[in-house]
Amino acid sequence: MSTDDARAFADADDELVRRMALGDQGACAGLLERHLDRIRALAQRMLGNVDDANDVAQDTFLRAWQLAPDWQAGRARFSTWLYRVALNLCRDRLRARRPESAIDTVDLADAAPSPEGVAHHDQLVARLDVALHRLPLRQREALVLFHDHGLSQAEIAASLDISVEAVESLLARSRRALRRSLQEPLT
Amino acid sequence: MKHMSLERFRDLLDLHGSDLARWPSVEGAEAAVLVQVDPGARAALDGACRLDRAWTATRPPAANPELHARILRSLTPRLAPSASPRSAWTALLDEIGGWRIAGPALAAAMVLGIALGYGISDETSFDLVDLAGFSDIEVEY
Repeated sequence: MSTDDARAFADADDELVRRMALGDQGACAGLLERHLDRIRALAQRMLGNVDDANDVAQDTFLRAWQLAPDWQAGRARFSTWLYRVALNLCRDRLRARRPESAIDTVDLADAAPSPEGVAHHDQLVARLDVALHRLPLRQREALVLFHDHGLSQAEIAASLDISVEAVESLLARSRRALRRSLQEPLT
Repeated sequence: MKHMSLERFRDLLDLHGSDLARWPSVEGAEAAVLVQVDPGARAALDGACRLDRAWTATRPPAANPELHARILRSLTPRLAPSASPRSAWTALLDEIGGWRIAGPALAAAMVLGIALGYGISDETSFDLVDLAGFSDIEVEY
């Protein structure tokens, strides 16, 4: 997306938020149409669970509705703000989980390769899913925002409220960790 | 154009991923040259591409339409009350300070009402004034 396109997208978001604050249901539906898939996908990557991801998506848009009357157009991107809220809600859920499940939040049985005749690619996909959920939280967040959502390092920095240098470090460390994890022999 | 070392290429690969188009333009151009001439760089890029393809393959599917409807349903009761245009009274209240002035305004209205009531009837309702917490206010009639 070019800078102009991104600006137009953000401006359209601001207008929808303004209308949502006035109770316009169509504007609310429009915001869902534009952002729900990404927010839900982000939550599912982070939590590894469809139901939790759906709940986080719902709570994120509820917060958006609550914030709408106070939203100041142009001060921040609505999409960045949504990412922040969704990530905070994911962190809350991960903290609330039992310690052992916080380390590995996906169902390992589901993620494990099937017994026989599994293609190398399928194994890689399954192992990647497990490896991703073993990453430290911040590394996982940075990687998901970069790969799934196509955010630049500056946009990730804004979403995570950290410096661009910190994002670079998170991305580099997370990729190295994933690569190491995928090079380990299957157990 | 400077020559990029393999070590530097691997570091940048970790930093920016396998899509050279997402790299800063100068480094991306240098990297594109390197992978043409260095088998090690080519292998590193291939490995990163495999990782990215696997990543794409594990991408969560789009949201179920039911979720869209569910969220909209959950917000609809909240949207409905404010769907009507704001009343002139609400706008006036916002203009003069919003709900922050509600307390003082209520107190003033009570004092005024009591004063008027006293003026109309001969009986003084000082008890009501006391109840409102304004017993120390002297009111002259």
